Amino acid sequence: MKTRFIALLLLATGLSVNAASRAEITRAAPVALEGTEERSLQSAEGLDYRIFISTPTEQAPPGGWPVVYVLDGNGWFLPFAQLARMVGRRPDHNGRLPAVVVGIGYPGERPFHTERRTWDFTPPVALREPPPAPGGRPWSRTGGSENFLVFLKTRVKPMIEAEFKIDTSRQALYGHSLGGLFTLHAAFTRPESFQYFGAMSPSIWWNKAYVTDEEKVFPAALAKHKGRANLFMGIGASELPHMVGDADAMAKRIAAAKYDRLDFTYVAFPGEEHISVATPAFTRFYDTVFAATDTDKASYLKAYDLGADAKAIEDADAYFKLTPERQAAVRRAGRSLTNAEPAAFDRRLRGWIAALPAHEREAVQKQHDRWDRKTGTVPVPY
Amino acid sequence: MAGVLDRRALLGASAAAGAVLISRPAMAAEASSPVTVRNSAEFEMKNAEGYTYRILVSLPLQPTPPEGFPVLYVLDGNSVFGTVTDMVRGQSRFPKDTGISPAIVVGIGYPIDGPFDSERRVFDLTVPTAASEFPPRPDGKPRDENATGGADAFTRFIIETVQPEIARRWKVDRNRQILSGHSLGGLFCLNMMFHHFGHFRGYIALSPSVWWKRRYILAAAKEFAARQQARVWTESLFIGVGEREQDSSEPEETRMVDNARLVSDVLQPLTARGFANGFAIAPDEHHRSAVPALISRASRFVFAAMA
Repeated sequence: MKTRFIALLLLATGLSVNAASRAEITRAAPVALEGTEERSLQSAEGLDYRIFISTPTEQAPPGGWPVVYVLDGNGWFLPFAQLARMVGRRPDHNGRLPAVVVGIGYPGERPFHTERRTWDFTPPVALREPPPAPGGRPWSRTGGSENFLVFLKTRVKPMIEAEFKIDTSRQALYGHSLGGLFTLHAAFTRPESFQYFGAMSPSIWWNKAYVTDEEKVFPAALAKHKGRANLFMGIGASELPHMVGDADAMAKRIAAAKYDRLDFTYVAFPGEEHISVATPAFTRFYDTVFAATDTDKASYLKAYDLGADAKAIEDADAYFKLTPERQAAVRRAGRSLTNAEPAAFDRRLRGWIAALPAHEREAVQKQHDRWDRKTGTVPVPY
Repeated sequence: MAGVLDRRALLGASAAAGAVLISRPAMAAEASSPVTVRNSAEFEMKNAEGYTYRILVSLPLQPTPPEGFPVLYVLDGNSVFGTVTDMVRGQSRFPKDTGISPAIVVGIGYPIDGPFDSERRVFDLTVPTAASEFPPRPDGKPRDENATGGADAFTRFIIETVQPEIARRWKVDRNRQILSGHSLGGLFCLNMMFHHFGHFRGYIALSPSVWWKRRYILAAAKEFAARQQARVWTESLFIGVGEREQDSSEPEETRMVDNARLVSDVLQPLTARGFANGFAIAPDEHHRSAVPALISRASRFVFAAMA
């Protein structure tokens, strides 16, 4: 069959190809990003969302995985998830933690859903100017930000936290453009809602810079908030002059205020414009907020204890008799970076699972995946 | 097999017609499916020695221009294919501002989980290197010289197998093909340019491992520049590196920033006859973040040179 396929291919194109350079196609499918999946979720108001989730590539530190919620998930999830999966490797060595990346998107294939995002990302305030109508079309309706914050808090986060071992002291919100405006809004008015806020190329201009009014309540909101807040703001230095000017001015004000409980970073990325700034900015944000502490690094180098019960396990039956939680703890030990004895156990375990009949293997895989995520272990396909 | 053929046909046809292929199945609340790249194809190809590669392709969402699409090839395809695809798609929505026209992105990767196949990439991306030609390793252990030396075979695979296959499946502007790589992939790009010139119009070498084999690529750059005295250029090269990749206490041989600049400087005389020679140091970026930090700028540079 394979031979005939190649022959057909050559006939069809009239290419003369020597044997050494023959293209052998063995599989064709759309590119699926490893370790990702999609869910659907509805807000209290009945709005449908697409939720994109990326599982980290390393075990969680003891407190659980950090998480970053990315707005405009249709447009930004794929590149950001892939970057996170790359830079979060080997935290002991590279110094950045693995994180769960969650994209919040909208039904359909548009990278940026103008109507839905305009509603979600803007606060319910009176409009100060009749907005210009680009191309004669009226602007999308505005004012859904409070509902959207509630949706994030009461639907998205609980779904993620039920499934993954999340470190709730390391949660980030990240938005770009109008999503950056929303991120500023959340930081200024609800600094307790996330520990890290990434506001990229924020649309400060919106509604005659309404967000600068919200900036005035920031000190009071910070004072009321018991913990620290971390705000990262960025802009492409080659964006439109008013965008750069607005961001520069706001960054100067925030830096000058020297808030006690705020860690503030501002970066103007040289040579980048509104869209191209996204990938460098996300990586820098990730580096800034998800840096591994010495304790984190030490945890990765710690040889996990397999436990006496696991050491005594001679065969698959004995393993499957353990509780699912105990099994997960054993797997986590087996996949630690530095431990030879558990690693050998993990290899034996893989052998036992590979020997199962297909339908059982599938059930075991499902159960393992579920418990691995709950316990901060990277799920591994068998 | 029939299914594979159907899907191939569908993809090829939709790209040619400029139609948008939505690859994701309908949303289902209970079942979870992996997130897929819109309008993309993934398949495997074998090289002459029988090693399997995973080829990841994303097609523009715009209609095909009469001359065909430019192609941006990405080495270590598993690691940054999605990132590069998004960068190209995002910027090519505004080609007048960015200079980046809609382009096919082709990731050349390996059939693995995870971003890198460390053994195969070291073989594929390097010329034969003796153990004595490596800088000493921090742990003092010798390097395995048998693990290197596949660059010529990998070059043949790319130019004799991958490029023709992409051009066969989709309408490609053969005059606008770019090769990009990071680290050893950056070194491989330079090797491709200096030793196998003519298969690409633009080269993007990010954080290139110039230190490899006693900086052989620096000598190759000098010979290349000397050989090409009379040529009028339409090609481009962008070399980029992160500021934090170099530590001032390092020996000259392994300095990432200085060495990258040396290669760029050697080629500078060629700019008098049209060669576009781009160089950038990304402030505050490290080895791994150099790709996201510089890929947009690098792409704008090589696309502008092809305009």
